[in-house]
Amino acid sequence: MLEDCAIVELYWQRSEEAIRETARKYGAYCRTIIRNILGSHEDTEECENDTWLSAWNAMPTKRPDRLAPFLGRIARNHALDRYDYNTAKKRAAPAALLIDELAGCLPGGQEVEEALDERELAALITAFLRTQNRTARGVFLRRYWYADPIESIAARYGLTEVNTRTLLSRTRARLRTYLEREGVRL
Amino acid sequence: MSGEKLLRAIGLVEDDLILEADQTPAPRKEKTTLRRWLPLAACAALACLLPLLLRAGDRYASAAPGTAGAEALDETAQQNMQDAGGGAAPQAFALGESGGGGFGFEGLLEFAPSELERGCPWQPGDAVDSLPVYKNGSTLYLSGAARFTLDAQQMEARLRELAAKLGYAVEEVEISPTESEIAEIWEKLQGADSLTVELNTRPYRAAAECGGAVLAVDAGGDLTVEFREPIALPAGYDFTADAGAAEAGRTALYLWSVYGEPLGLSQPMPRLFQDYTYEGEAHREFAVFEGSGTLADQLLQFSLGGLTFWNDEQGRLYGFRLSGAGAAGEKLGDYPVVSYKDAQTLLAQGVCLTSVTEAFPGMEYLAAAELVYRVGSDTVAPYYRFLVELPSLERENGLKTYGAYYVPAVESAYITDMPSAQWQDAAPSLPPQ
Repeated sequence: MLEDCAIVELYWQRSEEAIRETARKYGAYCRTIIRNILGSHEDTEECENDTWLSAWNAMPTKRPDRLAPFLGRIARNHALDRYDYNTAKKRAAPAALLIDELAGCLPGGQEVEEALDERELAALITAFLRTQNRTARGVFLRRYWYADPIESIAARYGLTEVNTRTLLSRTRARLRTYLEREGVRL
Repeated sequence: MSGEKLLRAIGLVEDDLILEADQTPAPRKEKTTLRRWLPLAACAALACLLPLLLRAGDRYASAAPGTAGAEALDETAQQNMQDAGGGAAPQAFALGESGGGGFGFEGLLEFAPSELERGCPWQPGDAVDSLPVYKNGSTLYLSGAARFTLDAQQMEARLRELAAKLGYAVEEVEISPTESEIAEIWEKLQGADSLTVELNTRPYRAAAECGGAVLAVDAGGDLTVEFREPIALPAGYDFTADAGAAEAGRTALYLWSVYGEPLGLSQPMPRLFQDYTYEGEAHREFAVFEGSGTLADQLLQFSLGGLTFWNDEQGRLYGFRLSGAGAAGEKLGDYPVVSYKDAQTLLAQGVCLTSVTEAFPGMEYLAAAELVYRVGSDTVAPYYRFLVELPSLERENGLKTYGAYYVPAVESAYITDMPSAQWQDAAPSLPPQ
């Protein structure tokens, strides 16, 4: 299996082998993320196709050091876009649960127009996560970045499901406090 | 700010934290995230839901290199080459597949092997001498990610034809990407190579609003119908994830009678795939495929075709997809096929395509088998698909994990890129005699 740098080079050379190698190495990885968010078989294939095309369009000019987070992010975004479409059609998806859970992180519990853009918010979340211990950080990202089910996270970290939920709840509460302290206004 | 905005912002968290979360050692053997994905081929014969469970007592011949079994296999292949086609042997071909690997794997979560039954037209014990191999009929194929066969005119023609069969009047057809989208793409792609331009601007969908539905045909020839308002089924038809196999079959056949028969499916075979989430929540597919024609026709439809109905949480129909076997192009020939017994031998040696990263547990964990077609970059070829229990991944709630292993069904002499043995050093576990 090719190293990431070699696969990225294939994209830069506009070789069709790039997509073949990407699908081979990261197909299952991206499909997992998409399925975790959408929970739907038919949507998974469409989002996967969109992911490969987006990757093809992105490289060049991008040259990511590591493909896993790069591709996972693309797949995640396509899945969330699809989730938005499905939500309008009242089709349930696992992502709804994640959004409900995170709503509790919002300082003040209100929704107003927010001047903070996604990148600024992401920088704050990154800084917050770096203040957490590795397990709390990992559990949080497995849940909200990888959209893993609770049971899967519990198994990965050797926790009970109850402990996992408790850890997530506490981390969300600390994130809320952190965002309030940083002046994220609602 | 909404919870969704927060969820999207989390997506932009720095890479090192994402990688750290993925590399955290798991306390158990499993290191990768299990994925469960629905293969295109899954069905069950409603009238005869025969279990595909392979019992541990099934016998197979050891064919480790250098053994009498291996020599016997080679002789058989040579004989078959002379016999094939009654004359000149068909040309060797490339599978054009890599099988996967890396992150995650193809696995199914079930409580019992009996839940793996899919109603494949072939069952262990059915002798098959030869099966056709087809050229990949796509005009542009990218490792299974994109398949372009129809141009805009052809997509529109197919859309109108299928809409008429369903009783929909089509007025205006929109081709995607639209003219304005293409203009935007051209602007973004200035200086890009021709393949990039083609991928981004090639027509990929023809769609039309027809009364209460949106009908669309994609470049692979598949039709999707999405209803503006979901449709409740008549009482007595269970269209929920909790439907049992028999009920699901009834429901699928009922839906076929409404939507499939007009589309020309004449002999529907229900496809009743079911698996579970980690928490044990059932997911069930409601589908039928065309069961007419030869075994090869059926296998092709079983694997790549079918009419799949989509249910919402209330058990209402919100749409369906008609998939064809359009990936199968020109027939390259009829090729001799290894026996099921010999395929098991190959599996025992690891001569297969698989994305399973767990160590092969041994032949005693073989739980189910079927014959399917897979689409490779050059050809559409048959494989034995084995589902093997991975005992190290059994969950506390009783769910078992079954990994998928694909052994090329065509004799190796005809395959230029035959997979090599992956667990050659492991002595095959002989079943109890």
